[in-house]
Amino acid sequence: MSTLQPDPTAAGRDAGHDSSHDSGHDSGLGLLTGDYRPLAGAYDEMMAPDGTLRGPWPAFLKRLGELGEEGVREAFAGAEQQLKNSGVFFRVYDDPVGAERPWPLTPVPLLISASEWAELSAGAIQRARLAEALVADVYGPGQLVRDGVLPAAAIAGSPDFLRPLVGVTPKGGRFLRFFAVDLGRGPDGQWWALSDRAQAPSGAGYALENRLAVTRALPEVARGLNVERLAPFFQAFRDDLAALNAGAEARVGLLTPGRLNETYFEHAYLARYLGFLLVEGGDLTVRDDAVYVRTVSGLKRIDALWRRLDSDFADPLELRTASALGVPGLVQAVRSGRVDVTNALGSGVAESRALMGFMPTLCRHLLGEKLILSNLATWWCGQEEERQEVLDRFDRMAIASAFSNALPGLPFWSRLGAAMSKDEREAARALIETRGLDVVGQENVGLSTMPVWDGARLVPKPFVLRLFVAAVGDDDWTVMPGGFCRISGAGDARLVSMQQGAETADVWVLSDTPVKETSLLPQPDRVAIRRSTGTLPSRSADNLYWLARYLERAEGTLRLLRALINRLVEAGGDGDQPIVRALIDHLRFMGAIETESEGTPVDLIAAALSDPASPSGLPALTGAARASGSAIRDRLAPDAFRAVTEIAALFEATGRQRLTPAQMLDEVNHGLRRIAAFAGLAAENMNRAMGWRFLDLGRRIERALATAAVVRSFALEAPSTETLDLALEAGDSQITYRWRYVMRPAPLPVIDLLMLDDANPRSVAFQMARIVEHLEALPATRLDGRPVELLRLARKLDARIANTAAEKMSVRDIDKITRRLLRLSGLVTDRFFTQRPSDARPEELE
Amino acid sequence: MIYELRQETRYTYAAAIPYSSHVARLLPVDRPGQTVRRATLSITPEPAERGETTDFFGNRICHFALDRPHDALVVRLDAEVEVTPTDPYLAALTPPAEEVRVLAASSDDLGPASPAHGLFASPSVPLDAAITGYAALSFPARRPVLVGAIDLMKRIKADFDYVPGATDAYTSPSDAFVAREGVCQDFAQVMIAGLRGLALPARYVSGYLRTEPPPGRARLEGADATHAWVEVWCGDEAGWVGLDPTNGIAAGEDHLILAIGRDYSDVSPLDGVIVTSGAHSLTVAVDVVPLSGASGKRQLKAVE
Repeated sequence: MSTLQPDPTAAGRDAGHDSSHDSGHDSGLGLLTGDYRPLAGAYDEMMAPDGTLRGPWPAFLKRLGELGEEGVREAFAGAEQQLKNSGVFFRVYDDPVGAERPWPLTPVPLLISASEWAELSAGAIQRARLAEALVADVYGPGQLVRDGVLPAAAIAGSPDFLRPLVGVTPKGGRFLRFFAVDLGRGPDGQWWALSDRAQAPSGAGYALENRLAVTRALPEVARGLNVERLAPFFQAFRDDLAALNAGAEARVGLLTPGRLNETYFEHAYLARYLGFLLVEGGDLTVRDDAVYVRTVSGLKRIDALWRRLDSDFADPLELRTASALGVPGLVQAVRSGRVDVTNALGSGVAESRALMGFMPTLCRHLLGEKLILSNLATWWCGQEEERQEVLDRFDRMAIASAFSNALPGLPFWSRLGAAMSKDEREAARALIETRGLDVVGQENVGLSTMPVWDGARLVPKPFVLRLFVAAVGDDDWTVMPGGFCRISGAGDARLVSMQQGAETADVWVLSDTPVKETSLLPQPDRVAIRRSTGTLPSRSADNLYWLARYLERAEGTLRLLRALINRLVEAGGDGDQPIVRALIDHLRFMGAIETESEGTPVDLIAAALSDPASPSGLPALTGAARASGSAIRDRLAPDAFRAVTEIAALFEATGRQRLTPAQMLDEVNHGLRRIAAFAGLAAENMNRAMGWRFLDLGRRIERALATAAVVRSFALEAPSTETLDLALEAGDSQITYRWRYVMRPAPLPVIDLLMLDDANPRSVAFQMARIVEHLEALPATRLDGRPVELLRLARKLDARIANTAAEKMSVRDIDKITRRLLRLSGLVTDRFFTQRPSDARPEELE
Repeated sequence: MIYELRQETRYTYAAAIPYSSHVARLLPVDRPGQTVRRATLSITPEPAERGETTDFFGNRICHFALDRPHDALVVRLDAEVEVTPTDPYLAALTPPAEEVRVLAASSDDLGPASPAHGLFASPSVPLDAAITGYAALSFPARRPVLVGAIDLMKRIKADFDYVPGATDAYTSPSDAFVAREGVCQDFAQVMIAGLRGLALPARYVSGYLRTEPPPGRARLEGADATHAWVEVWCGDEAGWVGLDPTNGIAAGEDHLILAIGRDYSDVSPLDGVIVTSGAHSLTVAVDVVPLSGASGKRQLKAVE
């Protein structure tokens, strides 16, 4: 470990940047390190106790200093903005409204020198190999237990030891393909392995995002320092998974628990980045022991799954029976070797704290090597001697669960003995006495600190570093040159105080030789990875369709509200004007204003804009649009998704009751502009593949319904000049009308323009023509060469509208058209989204 | 004794199910003291896919899937099983509980018979301090483990009321313990939770009881449906010993083992995943009769 002790370098002092003497003199370094002091008793990554700067830090600070004080502040603010713009969010499980919050990033990266990295990466790879060998033995020959190297109970006690998988060899031969290890550095400068992550480690996607944000904010600094690139690591992982499964044509799914999971953003981001299909359990079905994804083109075979769902949730038939997240039959599919699941189901068994004390022995036994990265000292109380040791040194140890489940009867997963209440102490000691099996004692190790920007200056904060290791080839591994650094919010540098991590930092591994100029990552969208455009999961199509419908409905409602506000202002606030009453009635009919609600027109408008209880009010519509959007984040351009969240945020704010009509008008116009911006982004940034067709299909059906309703309310029953004007305004067709008819609106031309004129992009006829186009282009709208009911109905409706004359149009006709449009939407759902099994035959098996 | 064993499980759905997949743990296997002479599982409607495998604990598992709309599912077991009573192990000769605890924790066997699998909380049996405290009363210092386990079983039989319908398959042992009532599953899981709380290995057995008692003996509780009891590990020599807390007796000639696992979730006779908005109803009928007995020709009777 001696080489891991970085020598405090004199470079800082030589360069005249020693903060203790120069604070305030140098604009960059003075600002950054002027009053920086390492915490007593903790190793600081940047500064030795005597104030000298370590290893790569002087070079970094020097380049940063060249930006000047203002430049540094701007660059740091830029990193934060960059991250916000990219849409990095994580979800807080406990948050009752499921709000998404920005992932906090501190702009100063953790720096790791080339020599230090060489040893860290060798240590991480060794741990991956060790975990692989361990898992392979546990689910295979079981030699470790039989030889007495491991007690059976240290395996049997893990909820991640999945008995149905015992004896099952993975399709690709390897159990682990994506492994992580959490590291901390003790006060003596030595790195420790705090825990192994073999189940479904998260954080690599966030590391990628952090890298983009920081290097964009500090391009010159990054360029000058030879920062190792992350992209080749992901390429290697992706290529290996693909090579194992039919090569470039492989259909790889990233299996996510869904958008309520706290790291869902990362799943969507990585799926998009790697060209994997983002799938939830409900998207998949097992037929004849093979895994298929439900797509709009029917069932498509999945060759490999990168699992981000905990194993025991993966199959409700054979694992956790109540799981709604899994895929019934997945275990049987794995058993029969027809799908490759990475990491293998059950690999979480290697994460148990109970095993940590055995790691040095296991490493010698399985690999014939000495551990490179020492373990956090751990005593499993399932053994007599260890149990006694923990009881004797109770106060100085962290008492923790030996496995991944909670400690029975105790309100914590890990707590320092000395920090326990009297009751907790008694309960913990009693548990250790009778069921030591469930408990470990761990050394209460100190963590090192790194400089963290608090908005005004750098302060030392403790952190944990996660390194990622991916499988390549038959027996090789590669480490991501970087990592995911989680920084504790507490000033206390002991491991036990480290909770989830309050902030994150990028991790720069510095090369001794220049890294190619292209070291800044390309846009994720431009990574040259092929993706199959032919596979649109039904759930994605469903969400695209509804996203468009909700937004279109929101737009229509906003248009009607704008008309209402204008009429109200013109009438001097008189709510009894017939046109005002007619509009309110229509809004009630559309659900934007609740049928029973009472109040002045201004109150009703305010409610439509801000009352989440109105079924078709703006908060409900835009909130539903955001929910649909977040479920398909891998399908939307980041800008488009951001537009959707901004629209929803606009109508989340409360307090509209106090707005004047003029202010409400501003809000409405603001909303309309945002929705137009989304439509523009979607139109510009989506290729014309199936996803776009579902988005447009949703918009067309919704627009046809809304326009038909407007015609019914304002142009058919006792129309007046005013109501006809209103129909044109709500149908956004005033300008077209004036171009065509130099006269006041008359009923028949208005009906013709809004219902039948297929040259008017807002007319029902125009929408129907687009709907038919989409349905003809979408897969499998025909069975046996004959159009299915869906397409037949669309064509019939299209023809019927085309052949109707305006003077023949009645309320009954409109109602009939509306009913058929709704039926059409139902058939779209049946055909593409719910996948009635009778229609969904598996494609031919290869 | 040779038994003819029949079980019919019938699901009726309010709305037709287009696709469903299932796992049945309904086929008995040979075990010490039990020989399966014949066992077939018939499924109606005819499954589109059907396969068999053996699970970790050696139970026979049948996977099947139905891909046509169906509003009922009937799974019928027909079997002939011979039970040879084994000599009961002398309880007083088993090692003390303290010793068994150490033996189990240090076991170097991870195979299906290992005591290690019976040591920990499992999906349907979380540990419960109150149950552990209750169980501890049966294990004063140095008492042989089987003597203590039999005492615990008899206390449960005495303290709990057998009340069909009071609980369901998802009732936790903690709730059953508070209510002091339940069915065989609850009795078994309370006893397992108590033993495991003391770090003594215990596991769950699903199976059947002889429907009608031999002349002159009382009818056993739980004979109308699948039954459940407990096995406690009593050291390497005695191994796993079956105890039936519902009836307060050791498992013997009247007990037919169907499946063994850590708890109900490992041996649930019929699991399935269906997508439906409608309700469903379930009836289970069981008949276990001595092959040569007088009541051998009786019809299945429905219960529940």
